Amino acid sequence: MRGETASSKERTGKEAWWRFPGSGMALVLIAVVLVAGLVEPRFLTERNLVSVLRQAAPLAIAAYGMGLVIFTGSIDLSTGAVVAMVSMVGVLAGQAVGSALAGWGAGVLVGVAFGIINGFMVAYLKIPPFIATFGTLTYGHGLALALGGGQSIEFPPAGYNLLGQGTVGPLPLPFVAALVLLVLAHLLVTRTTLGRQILMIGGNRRAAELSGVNVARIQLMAYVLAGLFAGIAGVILSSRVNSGQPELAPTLQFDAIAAVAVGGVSMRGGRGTMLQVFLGALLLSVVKNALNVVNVSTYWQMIAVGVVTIVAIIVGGERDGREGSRGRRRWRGLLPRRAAAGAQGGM
Amino acid sequence: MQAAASRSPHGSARLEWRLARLVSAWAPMLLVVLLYIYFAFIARAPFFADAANLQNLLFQAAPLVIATCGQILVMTVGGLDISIGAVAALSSMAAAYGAISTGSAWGVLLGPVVGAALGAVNGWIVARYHLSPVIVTIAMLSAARGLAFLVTDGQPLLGIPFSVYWLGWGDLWGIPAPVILGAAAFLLTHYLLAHSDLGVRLQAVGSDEHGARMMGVNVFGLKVLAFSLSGLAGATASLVWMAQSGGGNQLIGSGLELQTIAAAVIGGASSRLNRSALGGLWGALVIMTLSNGMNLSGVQPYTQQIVLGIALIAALFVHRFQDRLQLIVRRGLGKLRRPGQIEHPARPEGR
Repeated sequence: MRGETASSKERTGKEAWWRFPGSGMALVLIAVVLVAGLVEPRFLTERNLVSVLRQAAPLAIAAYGMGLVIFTGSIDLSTGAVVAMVSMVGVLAGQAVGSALAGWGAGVLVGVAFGIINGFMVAYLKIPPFIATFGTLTYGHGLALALGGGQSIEFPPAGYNLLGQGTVGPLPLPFVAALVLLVLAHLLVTRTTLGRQILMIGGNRRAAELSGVNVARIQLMAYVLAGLFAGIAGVILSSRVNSGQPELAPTLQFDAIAAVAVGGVSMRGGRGTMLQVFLGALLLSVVKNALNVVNVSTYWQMIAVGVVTIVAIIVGGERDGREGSRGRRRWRGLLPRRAAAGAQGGM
Repeated sequence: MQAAASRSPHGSARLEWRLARLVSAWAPMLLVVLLYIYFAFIARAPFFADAANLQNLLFQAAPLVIATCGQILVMTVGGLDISIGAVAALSSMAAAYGAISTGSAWGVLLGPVVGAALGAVNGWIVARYHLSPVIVTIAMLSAARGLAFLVTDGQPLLGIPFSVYWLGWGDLWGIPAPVILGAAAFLLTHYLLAHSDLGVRLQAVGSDEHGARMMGVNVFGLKVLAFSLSGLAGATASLVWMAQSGGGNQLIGSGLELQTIAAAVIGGASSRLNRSALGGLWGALVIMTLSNGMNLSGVQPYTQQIVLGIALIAALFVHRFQDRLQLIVRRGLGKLRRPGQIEHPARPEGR
């Protein structure tokens, strides 16, 4: 239907190289950086830019996982508790074995374990994703607190902080990791069967089922990958503060969802690229840092994140890459008026 | 479905539905009783079985009941309100501001007005742009909590007139004011959902939005209404907490979204068939009995959090199972009665 009605120019014309999903976001990002630099020159100092990249990296990595889950049309509200658990277990395991590597590995495994639990509940027990992962957020946070008796765990093995505080040339190591994972996640989504099927079940679950996709298994895999990315993000965060913190990043899931939304990924699933997610996370971090640098209170930043998320999902959530927003399609006569008011799923 | 069932010659189908609904609304009550017996007689939590503690339990549960009523209304139209705690925090600031600036207890009404307005914004965005209620209310959570901190730069807003304290500590003919508010909220929600046309339309929106629209139901308006009632409920609950703590406070309602969702889910609101205010009331009591009993048994707060998280998931799982069982029984009976005729999948009963 859409393909038939899209104007011929869009269908046959060769795409300009700059018209990829997320190109608009890249322009916004550059504009924000320039404006922030003009308003407050301190923003553009090398020191500050490096610190922005360092802050953006764990958010971006957690957002890749969130993006995969959102591509399937679900959501993961447990990231904040998962990173807390990852940091606690990571430090504890590192202390027990006496090696930083073991700590990092155990942390990532904890992330994967939570991903398996979430995925099993959503895909096989058919518990609505919001509530299942909300439950994980609650008991996960409780577990993280219980592990340290309400305290943080200090004194990880030597070298534990390398992952979060190290640098590669001028770039912070976490950011390099985020870039490498971006490439891997991009390849996963665009070049592997699993990645295509993740987008497929988000686009049309029934059609995917009918064409032989094992929907439950793919849904589970999306959550497991989200857990893996949350585990990596948690290890990096924990390594940056060089301790296990039960309150490491309690609202990381909200920031990750905001990053995915700001990147212009459809919240209904089935559409989106990893580059969009990455740019969304970067933009969010830049905006937060810019507000910090110009001395705006944290309270304003909370409000800004909320408002930016709402505006982003209203403006970009239903955008279709080439065909314009639903409103614009309707305006161009591509959609009948009533069709735009189609039923949307419940919770 | 009720109309169809009552018109059919098989009157027992209707009975069966009513029975199923009755069971799922009252099953949580059984859970409350069991939990009570457990803490009072098996775990022997100190002071748990005292009459004073029972009163205390009702006292604590009342604001949660009020907020849960709002959450159930939102779930009825197929939504979920994650911002209810943050909205409660912001409206407690507004209520304290209203009371302080007017110097009279009536000034607290500014709080519910603000709560309802924020809820309406949620509903408007969800309904107008067909967006996921979870993501919209998450964004609202961030914005409302930030705003609550911003208005006084992180300080609580103290100095409310003395008469306001009645809302938290006063009583009418020996019944504590929070309990009166809780009972009123419960009765109103029960009337709305179970005995009014509006309730039927709300349920229709939640179970089949497109169908409801085709039937001429104002889906947009009802969604806005449900979300703004949820904001109103959160704000009303925050009035009690505000009066108890002596002023507007940004930390009011933290974790309220989890508690209300858990209460509503334990009360059966996750199932399309069994949304009722009664279930929410019992769900809220389950949560409060659990937390009160664990507190008195000396269970650590983080262990309580683990229990609550697992209880939420377990309740959902049980209800899902129950739903399927009902469907299977119904389909089986349908086939027995009218061979060859296919029963439609579950739709909620009208009332």
